[in-house]
Amino acid sequence: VNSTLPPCGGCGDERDQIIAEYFTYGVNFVPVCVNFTQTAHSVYFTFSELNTGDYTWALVRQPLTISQSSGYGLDDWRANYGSSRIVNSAYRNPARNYAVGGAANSRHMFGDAVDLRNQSGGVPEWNAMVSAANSAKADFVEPQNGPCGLACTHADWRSHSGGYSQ
Amino acid sequence: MIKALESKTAKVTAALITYLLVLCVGVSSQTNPRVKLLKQLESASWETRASAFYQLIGVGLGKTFDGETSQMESIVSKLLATDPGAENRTRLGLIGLLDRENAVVRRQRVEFENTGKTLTEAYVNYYGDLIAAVGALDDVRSVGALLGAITTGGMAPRGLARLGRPALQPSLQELNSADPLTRSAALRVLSEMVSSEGFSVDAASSSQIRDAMVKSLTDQDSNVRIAAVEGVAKLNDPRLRPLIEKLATKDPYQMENTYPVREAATRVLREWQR
Repeated sequence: VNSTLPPCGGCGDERDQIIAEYFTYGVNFVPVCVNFTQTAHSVYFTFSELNTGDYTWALVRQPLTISQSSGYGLDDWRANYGSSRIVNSAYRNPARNYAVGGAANSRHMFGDAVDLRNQSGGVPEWNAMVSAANSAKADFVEPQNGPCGLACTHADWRSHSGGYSQ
Repeated sequence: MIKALESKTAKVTAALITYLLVLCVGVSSQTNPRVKLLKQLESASWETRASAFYQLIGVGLGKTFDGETSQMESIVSKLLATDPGAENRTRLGLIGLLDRENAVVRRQRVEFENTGKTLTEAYVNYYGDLIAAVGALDDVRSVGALLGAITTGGMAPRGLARLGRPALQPSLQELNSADPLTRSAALRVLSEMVSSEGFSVDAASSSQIRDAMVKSLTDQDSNVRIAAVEGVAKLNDPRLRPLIEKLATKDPYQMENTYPVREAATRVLREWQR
């Protein structure tokens, strides 16, 4: 028995469909109802920017909403960079992740990863975003030859323990 | 005559024991799942290597890896404890695996520059988890492998900093790299070392770290200067205040309407005032 299955009756809303997708697409973890949010946001990024999935619910881990003054996380990344940034991709439900060609266990389905657009597409801006992400204590920053290429910078906080933002 | 016979019997017995031992080890390496997985870490196929890696991680976790990379330290510790006889081989297997993947990433970088072809998300996701695992080994033999992944976020620099003194000189060497991201990352290792509770920095090391950071405050690359400013902040040395004040007002690097180095230096001055 999978102990992470939703309780009888499920969540009673579209979260049930999202949770079912984690099974359908064989993701190596399955969230529960209370992990989801419809409102979590940070100072710089709205919920709709952090939710790049197909539903009105999303998984958003604390590094994506924590205050810049904590010295880490998405807002600190944005602040270190010094000007506004466009989110290319943050939370993706499994079906969405599949549709965009994401990995079977993409961090975007865990709610701790963000791709910020490199607006110029050039190396100096890409390097500046990497530097800002490192200052924001991102655990992993994809190399330049990663899936973003020079179009965006991917950072995630996979090693930071911490719960889900509500 | 009897002595000669006894000697011959002893030789035959010894040969038989040796044969049986060789046979046992051979059979064991074919049937022991750990040995099989470690062998698969050397496969030419990255999918096979990744699958073996995650199976090993699953052994440490006691179930299929569920993406909780924050638990990697305890996972790795349990993995090593589950088969103490294979601990050294497991450590070397993981370190060798990261060396191998670093080489893959480096090689593919050339292809990316020529054709624009990128690594897949599945690959880089696995690469990130592997860096976390090797960083959690706390093994001085991992210095080279972690340095090879030094520009990929905080996990490799933190793993190096945890190693303390054995990682100091190799990290200082990276400050001579032509790649500004590598120089920045090396400064972050030094910065972590200064703030690490596990590594008590002796006077000579402390002086080397300080000198390296001060020198990097005038690096030609603005991102390296920012990393140096953040490193100097950890030193909390009032004698360095004039240098930071100068950067806070005079650093020339401008991006759009902002001065990122000046802003980083101003943040440090603000922190020091608290």
